[in-house]
Amino acid sequence: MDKELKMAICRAYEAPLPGRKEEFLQKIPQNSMQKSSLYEIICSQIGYIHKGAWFSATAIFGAILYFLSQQEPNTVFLCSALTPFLALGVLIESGRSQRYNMAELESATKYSLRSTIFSKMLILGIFDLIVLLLIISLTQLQKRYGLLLTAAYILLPYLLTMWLGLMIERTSFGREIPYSVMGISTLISVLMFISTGTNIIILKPDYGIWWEFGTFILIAEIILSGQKRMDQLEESIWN
Amino acid sequence: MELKVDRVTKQYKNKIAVDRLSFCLTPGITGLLGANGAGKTTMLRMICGILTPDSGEISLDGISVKDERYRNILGYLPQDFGYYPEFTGADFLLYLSALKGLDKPAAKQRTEELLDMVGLSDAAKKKIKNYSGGMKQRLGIAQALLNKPKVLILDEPTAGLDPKERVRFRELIADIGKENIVLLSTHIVSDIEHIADFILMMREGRIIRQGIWEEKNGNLEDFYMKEFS
Repeated sequence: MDKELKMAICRAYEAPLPGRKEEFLQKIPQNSMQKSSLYEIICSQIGYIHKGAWFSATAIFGAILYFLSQQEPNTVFLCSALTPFLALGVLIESGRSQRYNMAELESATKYSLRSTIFSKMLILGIFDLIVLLLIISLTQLQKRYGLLLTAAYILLPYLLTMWLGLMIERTSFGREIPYSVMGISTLISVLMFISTGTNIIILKPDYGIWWEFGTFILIAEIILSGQKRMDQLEESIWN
Repeated sequence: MELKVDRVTKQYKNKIAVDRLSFCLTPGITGLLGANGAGKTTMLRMICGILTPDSGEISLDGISVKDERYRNILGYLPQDFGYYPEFTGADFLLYLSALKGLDKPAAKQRTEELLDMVGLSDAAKKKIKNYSGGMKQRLGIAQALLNKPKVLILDEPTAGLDPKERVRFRELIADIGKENIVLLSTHIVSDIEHIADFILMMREGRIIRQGIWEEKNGNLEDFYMKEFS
């Protein structure tokens, strides 16, 4: 067809506005009617984790790297004394919805509050795990203790803080929760620092079995505690 | 489309907040009237699936309110809601869009549309902590509409709105109610008097009246005042 004629037709006949477009679109089966995968929820949440959580974890890792560079004999315990603050980051983030009164809104969205909080805890938990594994690997370079014992020394204060923090979040209500969790993590950290300085008997490798045993028990307890927290999360807020 | 509430009960310790309620909602606007403490908010939370009834069932065309498919078509404005301190109005809507499963381009477009609809385009980049009560409430209304809900639940939606905003809100809801289920809870009769197709009245956890309010029944406000005084 002649190009000029084409242009003339275009000018003469304006395309009509779409009629009942919304109705038509609503009738198309939506992918979103399928159940969301954990991957989708994680992707939607990763950008909304408070910057402070990433910043504090990175700062703690930096401080631990400094301790490691000093090559002190008690480096393992100095590093482990800082790990409660890593756990604190996860706990503070998991309680944000309730603290800022967003929980009710978040519960009524496609991704439930339970999925949202679980995905945030999972993201930060994996980040912490990577940091902790790095710390264990780096302290292991000093070859002062066996791998399992080094891991137990590093992990136990972190796990203890996490377990107690989850218990506080599950059993308490109100704005005092973050302060209680901060108090617990500070207390565990300070106790570790003091113990390191006094060379207390419990830190000796002879008691290593208790550290290893405690670590395994706490891992199991945290899984159970996390499950309970998720189960009671939505109901407890309004009951 | 039918939202069925079937013999639903909710008890808090020794107080029965909702007592064996049954009703059906179809597309249109339903006004839920009742004094403070009548059990309206508890009822709405159960309809949104965020509170589990002690007994009874709530479903939309056979889909439980606990199902993700239901939440996907649900819009909810709670009576009281907060926000993260670092959020601007636009951030708030984008965040809730993400939770409602909208992809980024759709979320951005819908956020702009809704901010314009509720008259907050100019304040989109302002922190919510600097918003007035009315602005926050309009933002709340906007978030409830993000996913173009087929079921819209509004708890005291006009609280904090000035008279002009109330009129604009009623027009907006009247439009949405043409094809969707809208349940609007309030203790202000004038909010629903002219737009509700169906009225539910609650007192002490029970429905004391349900049906279409006809002019021959007289003034709704007078009836309400008589019942709740």
